[in-house]
Amino acid sequence: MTKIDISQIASLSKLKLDESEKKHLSKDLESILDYVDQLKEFNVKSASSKVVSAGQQSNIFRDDKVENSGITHVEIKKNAPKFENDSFMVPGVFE
Amino acid sequence: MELCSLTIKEAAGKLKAKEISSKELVLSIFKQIEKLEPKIGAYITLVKEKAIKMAVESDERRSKGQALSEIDGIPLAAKDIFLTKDVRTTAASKILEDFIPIYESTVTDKLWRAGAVLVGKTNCDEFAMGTSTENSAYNTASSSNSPTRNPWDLNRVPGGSSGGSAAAVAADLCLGAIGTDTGGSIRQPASFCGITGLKPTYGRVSRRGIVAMASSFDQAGPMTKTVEDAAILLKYIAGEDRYDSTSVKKDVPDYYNKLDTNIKGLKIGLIKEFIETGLDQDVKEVILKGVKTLEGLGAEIHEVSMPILKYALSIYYILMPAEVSSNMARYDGIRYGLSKIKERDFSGTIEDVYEDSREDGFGQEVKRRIMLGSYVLSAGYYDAYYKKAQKVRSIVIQEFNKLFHQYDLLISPVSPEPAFLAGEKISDPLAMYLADVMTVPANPAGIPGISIPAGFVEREKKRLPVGMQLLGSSWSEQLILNTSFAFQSETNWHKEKPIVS
Repeated sequence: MTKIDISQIASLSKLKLDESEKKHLSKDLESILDYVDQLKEFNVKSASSKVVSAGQQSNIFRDDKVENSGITHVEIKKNAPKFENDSFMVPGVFE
Repeated sequence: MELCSLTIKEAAGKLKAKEISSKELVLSIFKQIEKLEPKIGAYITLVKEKAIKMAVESDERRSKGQALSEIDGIPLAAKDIFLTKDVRTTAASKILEDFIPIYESTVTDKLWRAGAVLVGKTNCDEFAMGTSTENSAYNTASSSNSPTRNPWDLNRVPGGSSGGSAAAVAADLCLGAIGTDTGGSIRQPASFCGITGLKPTYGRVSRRGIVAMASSFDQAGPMTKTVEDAAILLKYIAGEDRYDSTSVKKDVPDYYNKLDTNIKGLKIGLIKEFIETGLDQDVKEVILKGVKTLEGLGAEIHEVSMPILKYALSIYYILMPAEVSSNMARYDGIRYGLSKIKERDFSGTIEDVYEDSREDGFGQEVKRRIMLGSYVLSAGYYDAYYKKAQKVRSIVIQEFNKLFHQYDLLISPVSPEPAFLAGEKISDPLAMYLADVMTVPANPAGIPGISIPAGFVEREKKRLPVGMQLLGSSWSEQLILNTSFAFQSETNWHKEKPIVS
C-alpha cells in the first residue's frame, strides 16, 4: 500500500488544500498509485530501453529571431488581473 | 425533415444547389437548441448573433459565386477548449470563467477561413480531464445537477471529455463538431452518443490554440453524424502549422473524395485482450456482429493478442498527469484567468496569489491530476514512475508497429460498457479511469482511431448506442475512413436518431 505525504505534494503543486480535501485526495492518490504500481512487475530489458516518441523523430528548429506576433499590450491587458505601465503587477516574491 | 437533421454532406449539397441558405440552416439549428438544449446542456456558450452574421456573409459570398469551400455556411460546434478570438473560452474550468482569447486556434481558424459557421462552444470535462463531462464546472442542463446529458437517455452521461460535442451532434444541435482526444475523449463520447468520432495521428492536426492537457497525447479531430462528414472535416483541419512544431509536414489528402468501400482482403486484428475479459456481454455481441459485417465485406479478421496492453493504462496515468502538472502551472492568477491578487491587496507573497487562485479555480479532478503528476516527477520517484513509464511507452509503440506489419487495422470495442448513469462513477476516480482502458493505448502510441456506431443495447427500457473502434498505423486515416465508410454503407446504425424525452 503506497503512503504519500499529501502536504508536501500539495506544496510542490502550489495548491492550498483544506483538511477534508487532504484526506480524500490522499485516499484517491494512494489507490491510483497502487494501480499503476503494476508497472513495477514489467521488466524493461536494457536492449529495448531506448525511448521512442509518438510523433516525428527529429527536432524542429527555427531561427532565434524575435517576430511580431501582432498581439499588443492593450489586448493582453484585457485578461490581466492587475496590469500597469505595460507590466503585470505582482506582490513580492519574498516575505 | 428539419434542416438541422441534415448531415454536412447533405447540407453542403443543398447549399451548393441553392435549395437552402446558410441562414436557414443556422436558424433551424437554433430552433432545435431552443427546444432541446435545456434538457441536454451541450453548450457552455452559444453565439446566435455571431452565427447568423457569419451565415449571412456566407450566403452573400455564395450568391456571388465566391463560396470559400464546400463547407462554406455549415454550422459547427467547437469544444470549449479551442481558443476562439473574442468568444469566451473556459475549458469548462472556473479558473477561465471570464477568459476572452486574443487569438484563434489554428483548427477553428481553418474552419472559419473555409466559411464554416460557429454555433457555440460545447461543454466538456474541466481541461478535458474526464470521461463523463461531469467534471465540468458548468452545469448547462437546466433541470439537473449533472452538466451534460446523453440524448439517448437523459439519466446517463454523454461520455467525455468531449461530451458536449457528442451530445450536440447526436441531438442535431449542430451539423458537426470538433473535439480533442488525449486518452479517448473523442472516441468514447462518440460511442456513448451514437455518432462518428475520429482521433487523427499525433501531428496530423495542429494543437496551437487548444488549451493543453497532456501535450504529447492531445490531438483534435472531427465528431460527426457520418464517416463521410468526418472525412470532409478532417481535410480542413489537418496539416502542418509553423506555430506547432509537433505538427507534421505531410500532404493532406482529399479524404472525402478518396473514400472507397472496397475492403476485400483487408487484414484486421481483433484485439483479444479487449474481447475476452471485463467486457459487457451485450456490448460484446454488438462488436462481434460488427466483425461479421466487415467479414461479409471481404475483410479477413483474426484474433490477435497484445499482452503489453495490460500496462497501457498505467503508463497513461503516470505520463499524462506528469504533463498535466506542467501544463497547469500557467494558471497562476498573474497573467489571466481567475485571480486572488486583488483580495490579497499585496499582502503576502506571490506564492499566496498562486495558491489562493488555484485553490479556488481548479476542480477536484484537476487537483488530483496535478498532484499525481507532481508526485511521479518528484525527486526519489521520477525513475520508478516517470522514466519507467516512458520506457514502457516506447515498447507499446514498437509492439503496435509490429502488429501493423501483419495487420492493416485493429478492431475492438470503444468502451467496456454503454453510457453509464450520471453520478455512477463520480466518487470513484479509479473506476472512472478504468473506463478508458480500450481507447487509451492509441494515445501513447500516437496512432489514429475511430469510433463508429455498431449497434444498440437495451438498459432500463432505453436503447443505448455502442461504438466499434478501428485503430490503424500512423497516417492511416484514409484506410480507417474507407473501412468505416464501407461499414456505414452496409449498416444503418449511424442513421438512428435519439428521441429526446
